[in-house]
Order: sequence, then C-alpha cells, then structure tokens
Amino acid sequence: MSDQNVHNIVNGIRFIGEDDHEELDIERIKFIMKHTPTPPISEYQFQELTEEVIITKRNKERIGDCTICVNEFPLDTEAIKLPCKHYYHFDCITQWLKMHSNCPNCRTQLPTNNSEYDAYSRILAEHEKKEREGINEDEDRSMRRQTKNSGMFS
Amino acid sequence: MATRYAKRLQKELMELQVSPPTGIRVEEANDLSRWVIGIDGTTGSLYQGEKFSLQFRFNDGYPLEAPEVIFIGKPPVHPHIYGNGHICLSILYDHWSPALTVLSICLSILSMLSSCTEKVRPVDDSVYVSRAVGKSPKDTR
Ligand SMILES: [Zn+2]
Ligand SMILES: [Zn+2]
Repeated sequence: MSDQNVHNIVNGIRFIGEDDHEELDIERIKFIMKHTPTPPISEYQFQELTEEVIITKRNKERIGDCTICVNEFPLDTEAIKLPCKHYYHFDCITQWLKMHSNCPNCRTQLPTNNSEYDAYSRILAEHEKKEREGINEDEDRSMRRQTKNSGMFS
Repeated sequence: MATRYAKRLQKELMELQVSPPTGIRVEEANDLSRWVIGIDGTTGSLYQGEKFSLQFRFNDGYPLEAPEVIFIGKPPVHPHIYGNGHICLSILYDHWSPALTVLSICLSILSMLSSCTEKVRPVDDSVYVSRAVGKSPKDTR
C-alpha cells in the first residue's frame, strides 16, 4: 500500500464516532495495520521508556539470556529493560527497534515515530477493550446488584 | 556467513541436531545459510504418516529478519500452503519476531497442519503459483 493511500484512509477515519460508520472504520484500521510495516520507535521514547539495568549475581538468573542473539548478559554489564520487563543487549534491541516498535518477546507495542500509526493502535486497543467489556457486561451488572444488596443489609 | 548473529544459528542447529523433538529432524545443513528440516504429520491429524521437507534460507539479517521458509518436494495439501511450497503464515512475514526460532517456526507449521479440517489448496493457488515463478515468498505479498 502506498503512503498516499494510507494517508487518504487516515483522513477518512477522523469521522469515527458516528455509530453507523464505526464498524466499517474498525475494519479499515485493521486492514491498514495489517498491511503497514511497523514504524520504528521514536528515539525520544526509547530514552524515556527503557531502563539500563546492571547485571548482578542476584538478578542474572531471573533475567536470563537475550532472546535476539541468545547470548547471556555478562556480570557487571548493562542490559536494556523494556517497559514490559523484557531484557536485551543494547545493540540487539536497538537494531530491532530501528525497523519495528514492539517487544520481540511479547509484542507489546511501544510508541512509534509515526503519530498516525499510534492513533490507530489506540483506536484498535480501545475497540478490543470495548468488545471484551461487552461480553462481561452481564457479569458486571449482577456484581453491582450484589454490592447494592450487601450495602442495604450491613 | 559472517554476521554477528552466526553464533545464534550455530546454537540453534546444534540443539536441533542433539535433541530434536519428535517428528522434527535436520536433514541437511552443510551450509549454515540453507537448512532442510524434515517434519512428520502429527498423529491424529489429517497428515499422520506423511513426511515433508522444509527449506530454510537465512540471510545476514537473521534473526532481525525472518528466514525464507518453503516446502520442498511434495508440499502438504492445505488451505494455506500453495502448490509451489510457499506458506501463508504471518510469523514468516509481517509478524516475524527475533524471539522466534527455527524450532518455533517448525512447531507453528506443524500446528497449522494439525488444525486443518479439509485437505484443499488455497482458492487462488493456480494464480499465485504462476505469478510467483522464480520468486521468494517474501517478495510476492
Ligand atoms: Zn543480544
Ligand atoms: Zn516484552
């Protein structure tokens, strides 16, 4: 898909919220996300979100090996910790994040250098959350009723 | 193959040769950049008793880039496997992650076979196969 195409579709999405169109737009976003290569993480966000952790005898076993190069982290060196608590060598993870913006281990999406892409991610995540809540709605209602009752008799 | 990640490939190869899981074996790996892995259709699946061969090609980008994986010889008849051996499996393309390994790819392909309920080729098989002549599956999407 060309950038221009993506751009046109992006502009179309601004109308989201009109109920009739919402379902269609979600499908469109899913399509775009599926066909757009993940943009790299923003350098600023990389600085902000990652942590340098010194490998010690205490944490070495828990941290394990780097899953990109499958080598260990030598004692007293630094490992890069992503917000999802997965650890990599600096060189390994920065190579990956030059072309992508997710954690290799758990695929947690990090903020990219493309704000439109991030906006889609958010819309999709919210949509999925809403869908999940829809399923649990009945449960929630009975829970609320119980809480009310217990309040009445306490 | 002189890359900083060649060591990872050597490790993966050794583990597969020393302790291969049931139904998976290294058939060829004379050259570190091209392996042939044999896989057996899982017991209880439509492919029980069938044997297949997967060809893995690694370039210098591995594991930051996915290997090219295709069936060679007779590919399984499956709705996501084309007659030319190309495989429709997102982890081999857009959903690749460097935390995946040759073994995890083989396991994904085996589970894709095991969950199949009808042995048919993809609907666009003949169109795709004629379009893909001489091309890598990574360049036909
Ligand atoms: Zn590493
Ligand atoms: Zn992670």
